[in-house]
Amino acid sequence: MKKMKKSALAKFIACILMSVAILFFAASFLLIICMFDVYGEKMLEMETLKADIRADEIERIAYNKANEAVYSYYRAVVNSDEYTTDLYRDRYSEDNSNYAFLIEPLEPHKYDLPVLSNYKCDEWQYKDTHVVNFDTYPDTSRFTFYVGAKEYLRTEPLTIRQDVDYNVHEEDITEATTENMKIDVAEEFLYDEGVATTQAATDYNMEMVEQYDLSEQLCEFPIEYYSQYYGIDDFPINQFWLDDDAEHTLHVEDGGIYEGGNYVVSNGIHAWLDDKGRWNYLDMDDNFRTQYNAFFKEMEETYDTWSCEEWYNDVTKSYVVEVTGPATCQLNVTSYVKNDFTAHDSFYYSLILKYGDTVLDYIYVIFGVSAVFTLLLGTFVVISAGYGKKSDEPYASAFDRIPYDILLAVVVIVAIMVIAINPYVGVDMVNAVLLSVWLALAIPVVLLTTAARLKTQTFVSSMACTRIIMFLWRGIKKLGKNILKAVKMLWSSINIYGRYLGVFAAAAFLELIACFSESLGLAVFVIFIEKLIFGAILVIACINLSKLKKAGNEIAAGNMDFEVDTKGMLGAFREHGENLNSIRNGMANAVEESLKSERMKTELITNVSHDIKTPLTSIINYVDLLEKEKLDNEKAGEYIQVLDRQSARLKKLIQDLIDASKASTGNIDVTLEKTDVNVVINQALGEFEDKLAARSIKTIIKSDKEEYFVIADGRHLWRVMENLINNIVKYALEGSRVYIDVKEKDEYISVTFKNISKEELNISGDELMERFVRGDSSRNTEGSGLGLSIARSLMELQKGKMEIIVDGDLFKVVLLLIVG
Amino acid sequence: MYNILVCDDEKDIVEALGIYLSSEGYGVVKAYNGIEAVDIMKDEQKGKDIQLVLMDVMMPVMDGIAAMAKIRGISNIPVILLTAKSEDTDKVLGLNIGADDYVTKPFNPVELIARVRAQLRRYMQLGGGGKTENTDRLVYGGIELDDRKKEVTVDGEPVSLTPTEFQILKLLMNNPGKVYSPKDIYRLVWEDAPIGNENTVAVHIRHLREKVEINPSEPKYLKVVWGQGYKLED
Repeated sequence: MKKMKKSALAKFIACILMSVAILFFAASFLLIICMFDVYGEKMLEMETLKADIRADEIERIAYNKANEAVYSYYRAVVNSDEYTTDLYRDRYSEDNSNYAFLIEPLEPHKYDLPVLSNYKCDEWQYKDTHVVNFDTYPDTSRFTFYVGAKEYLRTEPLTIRQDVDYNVHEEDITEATTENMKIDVAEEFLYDEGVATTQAATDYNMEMVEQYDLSEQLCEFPIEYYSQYYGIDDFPINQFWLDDDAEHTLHVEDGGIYEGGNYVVSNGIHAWLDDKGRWNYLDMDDNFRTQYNAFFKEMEETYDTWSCEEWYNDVTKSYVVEVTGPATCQLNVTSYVKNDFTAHDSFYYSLILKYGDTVLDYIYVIFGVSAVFTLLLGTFVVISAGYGKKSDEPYASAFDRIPYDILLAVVVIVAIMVIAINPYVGVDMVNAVLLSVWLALAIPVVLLTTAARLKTQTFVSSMACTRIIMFLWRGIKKLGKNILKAVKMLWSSINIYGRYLGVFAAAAFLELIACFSESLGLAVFVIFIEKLIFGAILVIACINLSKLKKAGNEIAAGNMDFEVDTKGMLGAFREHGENLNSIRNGMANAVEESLKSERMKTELITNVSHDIKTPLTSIINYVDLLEKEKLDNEKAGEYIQVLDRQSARLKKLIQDLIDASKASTGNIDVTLEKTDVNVVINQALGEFEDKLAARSIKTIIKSDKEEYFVIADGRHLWRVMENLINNIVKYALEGSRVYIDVKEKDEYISVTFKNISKEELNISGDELMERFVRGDSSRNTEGSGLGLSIARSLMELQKGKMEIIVDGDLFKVVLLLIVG
Repeated sequence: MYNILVCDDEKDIVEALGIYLSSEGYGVVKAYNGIEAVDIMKDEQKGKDIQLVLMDVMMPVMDGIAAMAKIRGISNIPVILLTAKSEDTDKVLGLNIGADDYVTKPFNPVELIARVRAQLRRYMQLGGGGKTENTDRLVYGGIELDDRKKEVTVDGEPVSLTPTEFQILKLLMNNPGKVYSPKDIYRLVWEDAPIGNENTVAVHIRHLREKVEINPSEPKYLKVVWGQGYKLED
């Protein structure tokens, strides 16, 4: 086995044998396919084919017998061996095989041939008998001898027609009966002067034969009838003369000839012999067929009496039409039903079918055996592939290094060429056989080299396209890498304006190219698409921008919970949005921190104040108790007064401190309501009436309207005014006037307190409002110095404003309250 | 003689209060945290003798609010809370739980004594007040107004009012809780159009308050509704 594997000869023989096996395999396979169903035909059709072949055989026998009968008859009648025979096959008849056997004496004039008239034999209707038909043509002294053979397996009559050019006597004909033939003579012989036979152009399914009796018109062609028949009056009639000695045969270009006495039809060309011995012919136009269908109807309209008789045998349908009228004529129409299996089918000519009966009997055996052999040999070829004398290991020979795809392409191209040898479109047996032969030769070789390539793992690499693709791929990869690198470098080296400018420039360039392309459609399309893209980008940019703007507004308004949604934002916008977010975070943290520290401060102040209050209570109480003690020392009494005053001041200071811290941090309830500011002023002045009077300070209220409603918290507003009036009581010049003006100012109601300070004011309004800063330099008179600060904070809590204006000794406080 | 329970963790304050109350003729029982106060109140002997409690709010061990709640379970004698907290919410909480009055530290001893006296008078002598059948008598809280006699008493103490002040008080007492604007008051009391003298009403109200209220700057009855007017409310 090892030796065989290495032997080139063994492989060669195996390949040859395998080719033969494949050939048998393919042939049997094709036959089996044919037997079953390959071209849409049925199995029955093959049986029919066989029967056809058998029928041909019978036909041949019948022909021989008829031939013999005719010869013997001929010899008996003519007593001469001098004749020629011609075999004609009727090419018009596709559904059966008609043979015309023509026997012609070499010197007809030597014989005294009788003119036959009034004889006709027409025996189509007989079944299962061999029939001899004959026609006589008096003018040419011809005798047409038909031998019909009918075989029971066939569905249509098989006819052998023998034309015997000979004069026959009536009695002679009757004598011509042989054991296989029956000859009947008709009662009457209708043919007198001339017979015109029209064979219609072949219809695919039906063949028409028409016969006209033109006895009345002699040889004149019934022009008027034809014009009616074809629906045309004007058609060309060509005439030509024939030599007396010339054969009365009309050759037509397409080769088909049907000779029927003095009227000839061949492939739509009608010709007839007139009484002067001239041939006339006319061209039949294309609409013959359609008009023919209207024929019977026209006949009915044209002629006085009209009758139609139909008669059948198995496969033929004939009409006999008798007409009397202006143009007396008789029309015989014979129709043949076409068998759906055609005699021209390529299978019919197939040698395999024709002589393949025995082959067909063993077809499955052949198929099986050839398949087994193919497999066995193929296995050996596969196993032994790649081994040689050079090495124990499989290696690729020079042949195995030919690119595999090219090899396959050659095989395929040759296969196509083989199929193309047959000029007919489609695949028939010839193609199949040729293809089989080529594949049988090619397959073992391909198998051998494929196995060898697989073994040496050169299957893919040996392909030409692999090499080309790999080469191209490497090139593209390298190029792509370089381009990507260049683009990246370029992109990172230009700033944002450059990028947008670059995109715009590219778009403009594209537009320019589109405009120069001389195609308006292209230009419009490019610009449209470009606008679409830019529009989309613009819309996104606008959305992003509006988002950012909203975020900016929110942050500016102090809303620290707002976060910019940077999802889906374009590069630069996203960056900006993220920056805004981190600013917001920073601010939120800072605000929270400051709020926290403020709150802590307030809490600290409150708690400390509370803790201070308890010891202070004791101090105040004991000072009071001391006061009540009867002290002898006068100075001690004075000191106690100081203690009393200062402890009261401390008490006030502590309370103010708590209020100031709460008011400035907003840690206080504010209920804003509609409040009449005039009423508050009056109420407040009422509370201070005594104190003001004590200092001879006069208040003058100037209000444009009786009622000025503002949105404020009455208690806090009172506190503000209390503080202001308190200040007036403390710091206003004794005996001076205080003006209180109320009026509308923009969206506010303004309340202005104006008074003259008794001390010189060397400090600004803002400074006055700072905690512990006081208008006078002497800090130890009264009050905590927090009054104005508390007032301003309370005004702000009520969404109002407080302004202090110092103008020389004029001290002016403006309260701005929201209009109610 | 009435006995008063004084409770504060600050001994000096307790001592001072003791001195004040003693000088006014009250008996003083001292406690230094909430539990002590409650224990005293629970004591059958001592508890029965006590007619008023002065209680600090912020105390160790048990605070004043909790102690007061316990005392309220035993007795309904007047309780005055003393506290350093001056917020309104603290006051409301204390009063809601059952305090009768509320004094913020640092307090004025005179005011405190006045409040103690007022509470005791109402509790012991007037029995918490009650409506008399006399239609000419108007009573609101501790204020009693006799229209026939033209007399006004606060917690039993007679108060002398001018006719105008009397009319204003009568007006407010007729509809406690209703806010009268200065103009309304002027129109109804003076029976004249209030032109250019709105603060007359304010001045009268302040005078009235000084007479009726123990601490006029923190009025108990005559409340100012700033920007609206005045009302009588407890």
